[in-house]
Amino acid sequence: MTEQWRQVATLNEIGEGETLRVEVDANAICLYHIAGTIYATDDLCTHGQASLADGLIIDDALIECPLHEGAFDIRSGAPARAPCKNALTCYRVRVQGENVSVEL
Amino acid sequence: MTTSIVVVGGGQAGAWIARSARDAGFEGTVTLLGDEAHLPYERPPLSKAGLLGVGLSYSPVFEKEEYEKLGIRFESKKRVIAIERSARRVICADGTHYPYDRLALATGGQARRPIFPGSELPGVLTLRTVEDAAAIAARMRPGGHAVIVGGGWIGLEVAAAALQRGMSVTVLEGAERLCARSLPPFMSDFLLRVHSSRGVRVLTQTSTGRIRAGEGGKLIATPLTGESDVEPADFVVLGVGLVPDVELAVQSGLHVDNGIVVDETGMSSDPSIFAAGDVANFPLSWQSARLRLESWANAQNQGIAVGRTMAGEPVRYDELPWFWSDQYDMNIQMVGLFAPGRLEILRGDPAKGSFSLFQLEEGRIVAAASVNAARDLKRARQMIKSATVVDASALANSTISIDRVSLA
Repeated sequence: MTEQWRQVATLNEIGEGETLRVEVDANAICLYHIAGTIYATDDLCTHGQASLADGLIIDDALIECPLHEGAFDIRSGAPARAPCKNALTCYRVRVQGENVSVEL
Repeated sequence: MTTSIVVVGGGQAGAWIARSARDAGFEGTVTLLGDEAHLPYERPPLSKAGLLGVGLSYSPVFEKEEYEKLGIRFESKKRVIAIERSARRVICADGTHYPYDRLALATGGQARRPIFPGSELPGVLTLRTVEDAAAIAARMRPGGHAVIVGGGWIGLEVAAAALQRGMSVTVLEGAERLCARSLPPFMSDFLLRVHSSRGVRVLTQTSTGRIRAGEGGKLIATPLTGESDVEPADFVVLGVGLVPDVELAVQSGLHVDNGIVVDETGMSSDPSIFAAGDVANFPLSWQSARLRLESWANAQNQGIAVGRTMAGEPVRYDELPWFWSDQYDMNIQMVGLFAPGRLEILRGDPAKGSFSLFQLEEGRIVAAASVNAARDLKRARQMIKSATVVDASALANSTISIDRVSLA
């Protein structure tokens, strides 16, 4: 598989404890800024049709879906609370200076 | 020792009870008895995507393989007709019976169906099951007319869907405002404005007491109050609430009072029988009155708590009531319970279609409703839980982040 890094945002766009939705080709990715580290997952909740970037980061490293209050672990994509059952796809993130890139 | 758990009721609550008993490590038999022909399924889509024809109406809570993997025996079309508490078994209409050590009643309820002249005519419909949704969707046609009796959540979602399918719509609401049971007047007025501006004709403080068959299979509803007949309709939906299915509990002598009365772990007046979901009447630590909730979140989360409790890991269910509705382009959410006479703070602009309304008591948010502002609602929920004292003027100012309204 050919890995491909794409710059999707700059660091100042994502405040600590915040989320940012970015669109890459046909995909929407959600970026998270937790304790100085940037994480990336698919933006679409695997349960309902909701943008996780509209959700809240809770309990340090969970993203709560804004629609049904299910949750995922941002670091692994694993479902953490009902009704979420299927894991989110996670992406590797690289921060160089101000540039935030994800691996597609 | 508990070796057999039986769950009566194959809806959202029942499915989560069965699953959560397993998740908590229960190793005996788990049997889930549903009276419908389907696996337990999600009911919210029935009045939303299901009617719009844009998505699947039928969405199982868990796939069939998941029950198999978890070792849950699911039986469809099983109507339980009696509980023999002394023998600890349930009896089904087809003569089969199932022994239990612990029994859960997640029987939900039926759509209330008032009886009046014409209420049994074809096309006078209610909405509770996937078949009900299909019957309503089948009668929707562009240019047609829909009459909705009941301006509550189901009524308004059906009204929105019918309108979006090109129908004209009349809503008859008995109270003086929409969703009066769960929303404060400000929100009712907002919903009235939205529906009216889209062309829905909303008549309050009236209902219908007579429907007759008109030409071409149309239905003609006569309002109870002076107005003339409503335009002939292709269908009439009665959206006037739910009657909890408490018959089994009553018959077997359990304590029933607006639902099956349970404690904070879901245990009924018989320590081996539990209840959850639409049918359960339960206490919450932060309010004096017991309540019975008809919501997706309550069915799921109380089901989870009860399932774990039945498996031997007592869980106190004490969640804030939370609810959502989708109408047109609006996602409406509410958390907590609204009550009259509290300070109300508006954040955002209803005219722009995105705002939240908060009710405060002693400087703390106790209830909130939002329209297309889910994030504010989630923050509000956190602040309700933590009993945070807030700066009301900051809360009212949507240019100030809701993260910065706390006075603590």
